[in-house]
Amino acid sequence: MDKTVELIPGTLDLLILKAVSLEPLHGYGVLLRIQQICRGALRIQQGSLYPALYKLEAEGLISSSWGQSENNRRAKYYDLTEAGRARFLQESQKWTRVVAVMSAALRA
Amino acid sequence: MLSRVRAFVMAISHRFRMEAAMDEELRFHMEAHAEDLVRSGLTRREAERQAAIAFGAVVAVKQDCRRALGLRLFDEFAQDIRYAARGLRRNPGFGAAVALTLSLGTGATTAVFSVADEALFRPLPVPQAERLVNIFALDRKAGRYVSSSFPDYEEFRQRTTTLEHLSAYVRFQVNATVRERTDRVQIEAVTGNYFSMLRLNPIKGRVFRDTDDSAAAEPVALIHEEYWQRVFDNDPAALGKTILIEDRPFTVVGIVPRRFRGPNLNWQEPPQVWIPLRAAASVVPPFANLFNLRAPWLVMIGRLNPNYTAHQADVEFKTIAAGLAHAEPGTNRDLTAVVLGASESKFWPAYRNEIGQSIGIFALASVLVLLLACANISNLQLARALARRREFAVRVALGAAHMRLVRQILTESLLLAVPGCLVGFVIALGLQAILIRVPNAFGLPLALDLTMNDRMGVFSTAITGTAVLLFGLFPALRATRSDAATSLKESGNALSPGGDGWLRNGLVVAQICFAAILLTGGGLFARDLLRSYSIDPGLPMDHLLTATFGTPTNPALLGGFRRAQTELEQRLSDLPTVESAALARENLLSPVQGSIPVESQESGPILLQRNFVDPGFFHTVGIDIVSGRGFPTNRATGQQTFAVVNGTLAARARHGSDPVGMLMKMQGASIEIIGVARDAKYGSLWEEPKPYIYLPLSPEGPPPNYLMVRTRVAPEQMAPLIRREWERIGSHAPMYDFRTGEDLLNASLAPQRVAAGGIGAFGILALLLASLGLYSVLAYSVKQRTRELAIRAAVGARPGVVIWNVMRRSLVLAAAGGVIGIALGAAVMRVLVTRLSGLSMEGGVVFSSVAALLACMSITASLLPAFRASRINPGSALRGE
Repeated sequence: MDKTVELIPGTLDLLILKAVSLEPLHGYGVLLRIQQICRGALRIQQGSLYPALYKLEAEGLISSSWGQSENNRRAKYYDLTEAGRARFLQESQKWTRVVAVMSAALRA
Repeated sequence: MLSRVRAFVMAISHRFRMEAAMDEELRFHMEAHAEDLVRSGLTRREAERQAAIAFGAVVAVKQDCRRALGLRLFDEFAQDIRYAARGLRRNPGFGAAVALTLSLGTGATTAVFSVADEALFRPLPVPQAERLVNIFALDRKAGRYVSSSFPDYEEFRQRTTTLEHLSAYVRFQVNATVRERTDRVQIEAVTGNYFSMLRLNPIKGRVFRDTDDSAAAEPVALIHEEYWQRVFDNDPAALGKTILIEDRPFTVVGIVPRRFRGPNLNWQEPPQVWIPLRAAASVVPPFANLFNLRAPWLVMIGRLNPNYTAHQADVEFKTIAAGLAHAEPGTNRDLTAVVLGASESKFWPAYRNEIGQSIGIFALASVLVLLLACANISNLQLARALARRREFAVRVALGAAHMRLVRQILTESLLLAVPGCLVGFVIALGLQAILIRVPNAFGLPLALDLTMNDRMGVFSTAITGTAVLLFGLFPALRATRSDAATSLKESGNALSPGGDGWLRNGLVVAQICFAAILLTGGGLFARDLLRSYSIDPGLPMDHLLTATFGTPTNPALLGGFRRAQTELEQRLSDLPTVESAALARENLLSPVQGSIPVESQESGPILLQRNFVDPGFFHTVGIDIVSGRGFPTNRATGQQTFAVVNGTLAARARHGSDPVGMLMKMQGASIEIIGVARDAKYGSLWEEPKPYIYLPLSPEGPPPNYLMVRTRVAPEQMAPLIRREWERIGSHAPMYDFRTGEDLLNASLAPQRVAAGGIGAFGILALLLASLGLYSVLAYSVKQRTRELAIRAAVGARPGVVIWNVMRRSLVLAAAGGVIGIALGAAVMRVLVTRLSGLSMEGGVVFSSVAALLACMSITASLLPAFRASRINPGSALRGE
């Protein structure tokens, strides 16, 4: 049986914020980090990562700058902004509550 | 939110860079992924393939990214523009008609705006111009604005707390000589703080300091950039050069930028030279006495202290003026002060209403043309949009949002508006050029600076934007409202005339109404103009030439000047091409006429308009002496005691009986009336008959400013000859402004001509536009009713009936618009122009002409559609269903 699950809509943003909250990452790095922290359990259409990154940047939650990649190539790095950090905390608390409520409801 | 906007703006402005960055970023992703796959043991080729698959469709991702940046609007807009451009290419006639119509509307409005802005609104071109105020003295008893005296100025300046600086200036004309060339120039003598009060920096050199404005100071002058160009050929070494003003040397110390044209638009021309007020006394010696007298000669302008308003300054100045009235009852009893924002009082306040009214008429006319253009375009757009209903319905059925279609139509409107706006701007510049060439276009000699400027551009753009909304939004909402199902079911030749008939009819009626208003207005002005040609100016204006002398203000130069004048008069009289020549203080038909207080037993003291003339005057200008005699030619005996009065004054002075031999008192002396001259028009053709007095020129009195010549040949030919003769005599005073009798008449008629020509031209333009609108409505309705008309034809309706059917509709629409329009036009004119109060039979002629014109127009517009309707072939029309 396939152990991966589809992404619930809206959760990708939260995962991206989590990924870049640890250190600045380029787009591919964000993907790898998400796969790593989810232990490969989530299936992500790689391309869909970028519109989400652009949207978060346009909203001012993450910022971008060009830098040097590990294999010495020019790459665009994303970092969490102050607003992004606040949003991340808020959203992750909300998520925890939702999960708690949902789990309790389903167990009942 | 802010970051969103920023991202959007950045994305649009750096579109190319952004696309490149996006490409690079996505490529990096795929290559990095491929490399990882290679490391895990795949061949490079296989790795790249798998990386591409894992990534997904690059184009779609990029599209999503753009959307995430808010670029969708932008992309759709570009798409709309491409789509609209395609549509217009297919229908270029429509596009050209709309753009041209719009450009006429916006062009006319922009031109009128530029005049109104220059005359009424635009701040002076100095820093913080909104803090500048003009201070006018108001004679409460006489109810008119007057100049101020120097002691009053000093009093105001010392006591004011609401103003930071208070300056005074006086404007006059002098002869200025540079490099042996003498010109007549407008000069402003100003207090030392004038330029620092204005905060106006020179483009070269320096402005005046307080120390320049003292009797002991070196005489210095500032020159205008234009003068620097014209007279000094832009020579940078002009600074430090000497300029002879009335033979007194002044050192040029600075150049004033071109944009500054003085704080006051009166006096027809901007100042070209500035000198300190105290130095003015060396140029015009009588000024020397004025510094200690309470005699009016100055205009005041000041800058408000921070935290004070013009109103507070007004209150303060009125208080100071009241104190002065109390302390100096002999001169100041009736005087008060009025403080007005400098940008709102660019000429004597008394003119404001007159100028506002005359500009208001044009503004109204141009707005009508613009509204008409909008109604017209709206109608054309509506017809086009309705014809495309099926297309819209299909698009709605395919899932297009309603707003998206509205935006599509608005984009089309915008696409038409851009060339319309540009052409309109060119038209506005053309109209300005025409207006500049008509002197006295608004009935007042204003030094208007009509040039292209940023405010005009902003206005033009704004008005076009408004127009686009006016003519675009309406059809857009209307055409896209219908739901897909009914429109798709409806066929092009549907029997139902559609619910939009009233709207289109209404728009056409409005157009005809606007056209009728303009035609009525133009007609009333034209009638006025025609009537003016029958006004008798009181003298023959043909074969008449007048010229202006640059009379020196320096008395030391006056003796030689007057001898030269007499010599010139003598020489000209001897020429075979000259009937006679004369000298006079005032010109004919000139709005500026001096006056003099006179007293008689019958009338008591009165202020009379007057002219000083030489013995040849009456013969030369052709004003008949109807009783008594003119001035005798022997100049020896004290002629100052004689006077010739005009018919009106004669009738008033002695209640009808002959006043010859009657005595009057003038400035203490007794004068005898020796003759009565026929009434003439003195200031303008429009004036009512008014009392006027002629006094003989005398060596002690004021010198003559004008030369009048009755020629035997075409007068304009004589001008160069006279100038040459004047130069040969060797006077340094310039002679300028040659005008034939016809020029004088034209200048006097200029406001009526501009009004009749301008409004009339707008009216004819409006008529053309309205007939186009009427035609398009009729043509559309005939097309829509093809089936109905075909059935009628099939059951035997004669072509005449069909034709009448279409024409009747045209006439009904024209009649509705015409009646409303003529009534409104007459009402508006009645309110605006008091002179047209006697609208009677003559007004009737105008109204019936307009009505006839509209009837002709409506018949012409209906001919083609009616003909088409009568030719419908029932067979093919019904089969085509």
